[in-house]
Amino acid sequence: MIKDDWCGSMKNLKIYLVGFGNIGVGFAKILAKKAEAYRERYGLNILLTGISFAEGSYVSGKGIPLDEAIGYATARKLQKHKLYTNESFDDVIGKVDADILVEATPTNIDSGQPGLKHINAAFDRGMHVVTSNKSIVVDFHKLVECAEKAGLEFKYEATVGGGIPIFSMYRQCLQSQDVISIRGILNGTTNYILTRMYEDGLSFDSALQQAKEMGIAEANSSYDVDGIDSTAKLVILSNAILGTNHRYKDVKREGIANISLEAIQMAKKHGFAIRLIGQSDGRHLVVKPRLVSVRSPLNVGGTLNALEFETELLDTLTIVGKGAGSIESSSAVMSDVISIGSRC
Amino acid sequence: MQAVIEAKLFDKPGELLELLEPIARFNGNILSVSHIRELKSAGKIPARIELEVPDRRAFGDIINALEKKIEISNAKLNDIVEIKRKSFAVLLLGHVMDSDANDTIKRIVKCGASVSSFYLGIKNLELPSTAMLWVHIDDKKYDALMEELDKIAKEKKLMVIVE
Repeated sequence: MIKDDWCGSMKNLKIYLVGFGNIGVGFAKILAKKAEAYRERYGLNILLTGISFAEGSYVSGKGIPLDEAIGYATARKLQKHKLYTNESFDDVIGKVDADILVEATPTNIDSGQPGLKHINAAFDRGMHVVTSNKSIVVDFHKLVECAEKAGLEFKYEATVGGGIPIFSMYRQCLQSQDVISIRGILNGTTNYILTRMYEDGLSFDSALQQAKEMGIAEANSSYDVDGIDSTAKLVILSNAILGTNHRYKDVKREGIANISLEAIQMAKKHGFAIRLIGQSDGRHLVVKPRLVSVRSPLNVGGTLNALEFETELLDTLTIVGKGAGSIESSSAVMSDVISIGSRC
Repeated sequence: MQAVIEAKLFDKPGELLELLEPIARFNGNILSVSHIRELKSAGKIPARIELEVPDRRAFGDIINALEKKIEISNAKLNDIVEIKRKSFAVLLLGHVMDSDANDTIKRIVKCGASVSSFYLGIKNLELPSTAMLWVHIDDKKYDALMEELDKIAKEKKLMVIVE
């Protein structure tokens, strides 16, 4: 529950942000730009009262000046800020005055750390949690249970589909029915590579190189290309929407690295594109390249993501939007924060 | 009795007639015909016929006659599903010929499937090739076919991409 902390007709909503990389800085940028609009529209005065990152932390009960913090982060001089201390998350979590922990550290599929530690510590201290960290896949149901037992909100919209409001749509628009299965394109990088192969006749290696040059793929592209990222997202989707209790290892996974240009061209000649598709019917979870009819709503190009829900009453429902990207993910984090602030 | 038949027709003159003729021959009364060109996929157009049949036997005769000529995807009698088939494309990547393409197709057919087309893309006998085939199978046998395709992929070091 948010502590009663009103400033006139305004409710103060205090945020402790952990992780000040692309998504964390993106979140701060959105807040800097939109803070006034949020005050007017929702009566929420959102303050960043703490930021922790690898080298230390900033803490201020009055709210950390956003433009300054963003400037130091962009210049990679976080330690030069006047609020800088070398205190770690463990030092700050016990004393920071915050209603919501925003967890934006990098994903660790193997151990889930340090994300899981941060989230559990926040629940222990009565904070709601919003995260963009796919590490929650390691212990999804335990985290949901912890939040429920403590009467706290746990939101993770940014973990799947970037800016596409998947979980919000499910919770708000599909309560009347069961979702039977889910399938879709969950990774923008692989979709970009397959699109360049399909449209421009590039080999896999050339398309990957182009994706790296454009900053769409990481230097170590295995996380995307081998379907690891899609797999983590599929498990989160399946567990959250189909109510399953699957883990990363339960997914049958195959990436796109062995797809030849000849295969793409053969598929194209017969009216198909090849896309990396994650799908779950609640029993079987699979991430594999699939032939997708060029007329299918799932056949989206570039870095777009697309997700198809097979539902009890609406037949299939498809949503398409920008997947990965710091602004898209940060925007999803902010929406979760506002949703909590508006309800509590 | 009310019946519905859904089929996939080649985009060529006379194909729709092939679908309608046995219905008339076995005393089916056509209520509506949808032939949706906009949904053409992989060279085939979905068609849906709503009809009345005098009895179950006439329905069976119509289905048996149709199955010899065209690909039926679904058939219902009085809202009860009688036939539900999946038809889909499969792409094979790797040494498709060297790993005995004939055996691969036989193993697919052994699962209860039929294979209607097979296209092979090959640049050089020493390089990996690509093959595309169209498979039709009863819905109930689909999972077993997928398992067999996984086995084939592992044994023959092929990548199998299914629609």
